[in-house]
Amino acid sequence: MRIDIEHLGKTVHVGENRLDILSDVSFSVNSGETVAILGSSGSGKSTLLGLIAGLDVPSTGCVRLDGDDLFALDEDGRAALRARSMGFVFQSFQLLPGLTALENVMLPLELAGRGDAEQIARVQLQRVGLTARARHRPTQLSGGEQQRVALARAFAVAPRVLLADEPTGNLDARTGAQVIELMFELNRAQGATLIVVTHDVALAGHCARRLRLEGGRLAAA
Amino acid sequence: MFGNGNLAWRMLVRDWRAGELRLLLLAVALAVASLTAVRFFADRVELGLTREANTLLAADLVLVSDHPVDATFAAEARARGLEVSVTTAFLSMVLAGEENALAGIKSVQPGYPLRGSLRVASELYGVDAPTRSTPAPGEAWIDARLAGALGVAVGDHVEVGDARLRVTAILTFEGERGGNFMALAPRLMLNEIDLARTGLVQEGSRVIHRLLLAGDAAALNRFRAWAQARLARGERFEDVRAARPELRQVLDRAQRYLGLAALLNVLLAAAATQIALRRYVQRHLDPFALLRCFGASRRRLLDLYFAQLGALGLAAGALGTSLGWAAQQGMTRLLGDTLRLSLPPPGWTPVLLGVVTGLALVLAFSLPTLVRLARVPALRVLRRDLGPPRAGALLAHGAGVAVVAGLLFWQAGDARLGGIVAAGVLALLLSAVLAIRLLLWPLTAWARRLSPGPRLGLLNLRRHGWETTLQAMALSLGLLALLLLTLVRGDWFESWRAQAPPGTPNLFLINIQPWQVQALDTHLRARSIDDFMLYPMVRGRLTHISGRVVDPAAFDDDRARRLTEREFNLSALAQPPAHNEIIAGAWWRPGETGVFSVEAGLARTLGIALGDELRFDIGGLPFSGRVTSLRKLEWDSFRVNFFVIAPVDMLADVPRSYVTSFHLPASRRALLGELVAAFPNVTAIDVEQVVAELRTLMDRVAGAVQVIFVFSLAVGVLVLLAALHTRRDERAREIGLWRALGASRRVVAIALASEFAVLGLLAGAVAAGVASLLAWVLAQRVFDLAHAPNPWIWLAGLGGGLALVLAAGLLASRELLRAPPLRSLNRE
Ligand SMILES: Nc1ncnc2c1ncn2[C@@H]1O[C@H](COP(=O)(O)OP(=O)(O)OP(=O)(O)O)[C@@H](O)[C@H]1O
Ligand SMILES: [Mg+2]
Repeated sequence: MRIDIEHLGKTVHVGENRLDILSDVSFSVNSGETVAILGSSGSGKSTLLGLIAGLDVPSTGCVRLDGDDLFALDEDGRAALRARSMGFVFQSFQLLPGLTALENVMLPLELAGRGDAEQIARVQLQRVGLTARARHRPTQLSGGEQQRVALARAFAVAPRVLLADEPTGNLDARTGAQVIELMFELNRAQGATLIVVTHDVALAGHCARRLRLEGGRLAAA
Repeated sequence: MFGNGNLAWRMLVRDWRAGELRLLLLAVALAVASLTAVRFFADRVELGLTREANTLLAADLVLVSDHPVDATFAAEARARGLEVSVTTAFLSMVLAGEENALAGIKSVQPGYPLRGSLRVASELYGVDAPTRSTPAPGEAWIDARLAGALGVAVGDHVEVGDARLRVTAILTFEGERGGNFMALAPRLMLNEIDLARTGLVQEGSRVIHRLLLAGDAAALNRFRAWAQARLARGERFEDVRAARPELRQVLDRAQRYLGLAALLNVLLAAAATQIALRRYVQRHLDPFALLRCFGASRRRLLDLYFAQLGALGLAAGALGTSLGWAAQQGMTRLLGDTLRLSLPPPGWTPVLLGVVTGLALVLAFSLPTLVRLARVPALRVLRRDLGPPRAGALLAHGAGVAVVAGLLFWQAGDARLGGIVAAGVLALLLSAVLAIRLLLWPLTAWARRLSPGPRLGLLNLRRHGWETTLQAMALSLGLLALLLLTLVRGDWFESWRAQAPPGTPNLFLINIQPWQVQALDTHLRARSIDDFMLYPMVRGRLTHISGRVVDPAAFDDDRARRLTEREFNLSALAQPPAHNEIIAGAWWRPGETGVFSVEAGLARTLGIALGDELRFDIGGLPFSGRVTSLRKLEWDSFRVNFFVIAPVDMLADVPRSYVTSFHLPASRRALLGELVAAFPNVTAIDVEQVVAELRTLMDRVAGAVQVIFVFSLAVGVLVLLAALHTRRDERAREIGLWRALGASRRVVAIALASEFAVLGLLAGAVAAGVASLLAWVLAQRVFDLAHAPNPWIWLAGLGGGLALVLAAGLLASRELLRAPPLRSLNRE
């Protein structure tokens, strides 16, 4: 899926103050391309990712997915789009504590109404090497294992776009490397467009292209 | 949407396994269980008590008429499977040789009474026993008073109108008459066949006809509905409540108390549900945001969770109802013997109540919270600080409040009770908020100067201001339920003890002649019977009220007519009897004359007011006096009672006899023989059986109430525990953090203890204050009881609150205290 970001801006008002979190951000990502978004803390990376996912609405500009304006859709329309074509990986993993690893992977499949949710989820867990931990709860898994479950979950619905917000931010270098390895491997296998927000130079190095945010503006990388 | 139900179900199962739902289900199920157990049990007890009380009516329902009841009523009742019996009653002179006396004549059919039984003795003052038979044709059963008045014994003959009857038994107990014999004429009971032979029942004579009915409650109600429309003038239905006001009071109070318990259980159920749901919502913020991020529409999530919670509510309702049913079955099994009530099987209403309550509580309380959940921004997955928007507290909880109010009024079965309790609870919630704002917050400002333990605890209360307030509300609600049920029960049982305490007089002596007073007094005291008073008794007819002639026929009221037709009992006393209460005017000063003190009920019936001039015809002489006081007395106190009392001097020269009542223990029954031998003209009236019947009824009511009381207490405690459980996750992390930052286990324990202690004291104080107020209002307005302000309630509230909350809180946190800080910090 091709993504075009055009003059994206986000402004919030905190009391009297006007805060420009993002201003005039424009770039394009080709279908299947891998892009890293770098930048210091508070530069607006997560905000940008949230906008690309349609989780929030921009103040100015637009996001086009295969040429269609994402924000022409209403909230529920965007949700349906996410369900169809987006996968997510988060810094804090965001596995549901009450569910087993398998159930966590099944969740988006079930939301999509897939009858074969369990089979697919098992295959995905196998691909991330966690078949043996299918019945374990997140609290019983290490950080790296949890992020691998999150990857299995993200790729289970065969997304055309994978959005990852600092997927290795909570992991040590070695584990981070394993997770990065796995993520790119899955991405290659499924041919999704990948946008990763990261501080991690190693991770950024794996991407075909790197973009840098500074104070809410795109700087030359 | 296809598959949604399925998914909702799978999510339900997973949440259940994850332990997310257990607390919610448990809280709601227990709440429903307590509610239905109380309701099941209350229903059964109520039916049982009414049936018990009906033995004192001789039937379940009576059609009373001033003319013979049309035969179609009896035929219809029989056709509907009801038992039927007819009685006829009127006043007439009974003759025996030279003697004559006015008696209440009553004809009965075989099979009378339909409920309960008569008791008879084969000789005057002989041993009596219950009987299933009735007077045969040509026979008369008379009570001891009539036997005494006529000087007849079993085997003698008496004349009633044109009929000559042989006395074959002394009637010692007739349920219908109660303990109010002083106001009634002596009894003669005869067979229906002899009624015509007396020639007394003619057109125009004052006769009361009764059609007694008994049978299945539903059939009775249907018959009543059928007959109601066909009643002729002078016909009306009476049930035990109408016929026996003193029993009505017992039954009504029991019913209201059970209603109160059920009400409080509704409130506790609501509190438990609300508490559990809050936690549920807190724990579902993340899943909700994540699901939104995965592309589930808001609508779909609402559907999903609504279906999930609906299923949960239904399950909790069903589970709770089964538990409630089992609990009441257990209670009945356990207490059936103690209560000695034959409890009819439980009805179906509580089942409906339980399921509806479970579902309604969960849905009503979750609706606003779900709407809040649905508004959780999906962005929360990226920015943890984003919570659900604050809903307008009042609006959001409107549904819950409406459902609780609906349940309250449904359960109260009495708008006034429901209203008072609802107002009380509102007052409670407000007081909790005020107490926290005005007392607790200033206290925490001062806490900074305390040592680390208490400071941490107090500041923690402050930090979670809203949570603290909610917890205090829930805790004080639980405590309120406990205190209120205790207080009302106390007032009530106190009034019972006053009504028929052990040692209640069970023997009356009448017809004591003035010259026998001294001898009788000596006779009794020589046998160590000291607790009695000999009252002079004068019989007089009321002729004028404030100059107007009293014409019995002019009264619409049946009772008023009956009272003015006959002479009634006056006494002459210097002091008001100890068990009488002057409710208007004042007792006379020594030496005052020309005044009367009148019983309040009589005054009301006859329209007599303070200051009215009454004139009596006593032995042919007129006696006038002004009414200077009204007295309230308990007719069923088994003491000698008088409608009208005059100063001693006023009736000094009037012919009189004396009466007294005292308690004769069963073991000393032999004294009765000695007594009647020594004073042959004195008539002894044994009311032991009447006292016993009433006492039995009260004991059973008390037993039943006790059970429900204990059950409600248990639920109250449960809610307290649930309230303390709400912040568990957060508390775990807090404790972990404190420990990680270097607080010793001791400091943490002290912090927790001071937090719980302050919370408990605060909730206890609020609950005690509102409970005292509410108990007073309920006693006045609903239970019609004298309320003794009870300062102990403050001690109980504060002490109980402190002890319960402290113990439960520390117990619940014990595990958190012991766990290594890391585990607590990693808790989800
Ligand atoms: N709704 C909001 N209201 C106020 N400020 C906001 C809001 N959303 C984001 N911000 C601010 O905008 C800035 C950018 O936030 P963002 O989360 O995008 O940063 P980031 O680049 O992801 O940083 P990090 O690397 O630390 O995750 C921050 O200063 C943040 O506090
Ligand atoms: Mg970020």
